[in-house]
Amino acid sequence: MADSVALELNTDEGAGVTWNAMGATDVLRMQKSGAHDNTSAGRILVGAANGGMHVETAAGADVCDTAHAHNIAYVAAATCQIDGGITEDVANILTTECIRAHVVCDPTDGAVTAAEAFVYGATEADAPTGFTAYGVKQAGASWSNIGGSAAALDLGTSASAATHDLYFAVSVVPTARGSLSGTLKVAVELV
Amino acid sequence: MTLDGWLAVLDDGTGWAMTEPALRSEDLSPWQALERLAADTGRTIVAAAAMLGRVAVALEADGHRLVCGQSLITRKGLTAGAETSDVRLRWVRREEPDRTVWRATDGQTAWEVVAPPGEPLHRHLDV
Repeated sequence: MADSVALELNTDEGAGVTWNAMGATDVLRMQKSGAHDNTSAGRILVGAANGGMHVETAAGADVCDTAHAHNIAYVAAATCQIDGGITEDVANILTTECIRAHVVCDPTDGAVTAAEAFVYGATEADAPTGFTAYGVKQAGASWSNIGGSAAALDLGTSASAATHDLYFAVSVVPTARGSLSGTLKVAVELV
Repeated sequence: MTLDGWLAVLDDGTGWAMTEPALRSEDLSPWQALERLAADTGRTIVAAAAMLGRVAVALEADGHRLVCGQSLITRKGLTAGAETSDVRLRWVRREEPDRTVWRATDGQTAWEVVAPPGEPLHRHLDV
């Protein structure tokens, strides 16, 4: 085996709620609240935040079964709504409600010396067009705009170990109508 | 034969591999353990090579700190059709006062990148 990083969500794909890694070609579908809907009816209104987040196959099928990915919605700089609940501090987001970047070091342990996440559009330097992407590290006090590589969210460092778990949340707020596209990039540097 | 790891040479001519049992430590990675071993014994790391697949990249210290490591990169689309990929790089870098020289490989291609100090490699490579 070799060192690896996988993006995981605490979902139920039919075998109980556990951390499930996204497949190689899976996407994170950000939509309005309600059942999985990748049609125009599921689009988020301009100025509103995602009301639902689903892991979706490249063919457009919802991966989750009985429990879907938790949805963290941007409300203001220091607040959010978790799964459509009350407005609360982003610092309240639990690890199990986050996206987890799960790093496995094999055959030797490794130390994380840098890690970051951002959402980009046409190029990695560019913020996505038509929406604002916000990110927060678990236990962080406020969201930051993570559009483009220069605005990457710092996921921190950790001492040498066989595995590392980096927790963060992402929320999107459309600023324009239409079918919008962006890519989430997570990069981990190991020594 | 495919390769995955690093080799380093100290100024006394001794060679060290990532999997050397003497570099196994509870709280340090093998590279960190080598740096400590070198410092504790008054030696320095003068050259290092990182290998992945069938490609090796190497640098000499020329009086500066060398570091061997990896970059793990994953991309997920927020909508179908967006870019999705997983990339692993092995690299060696030389930390000079006003720049960092990286030599990296994904196992098929090798790159040299010169970047400002403190900037991660992945921002300077289109992989």
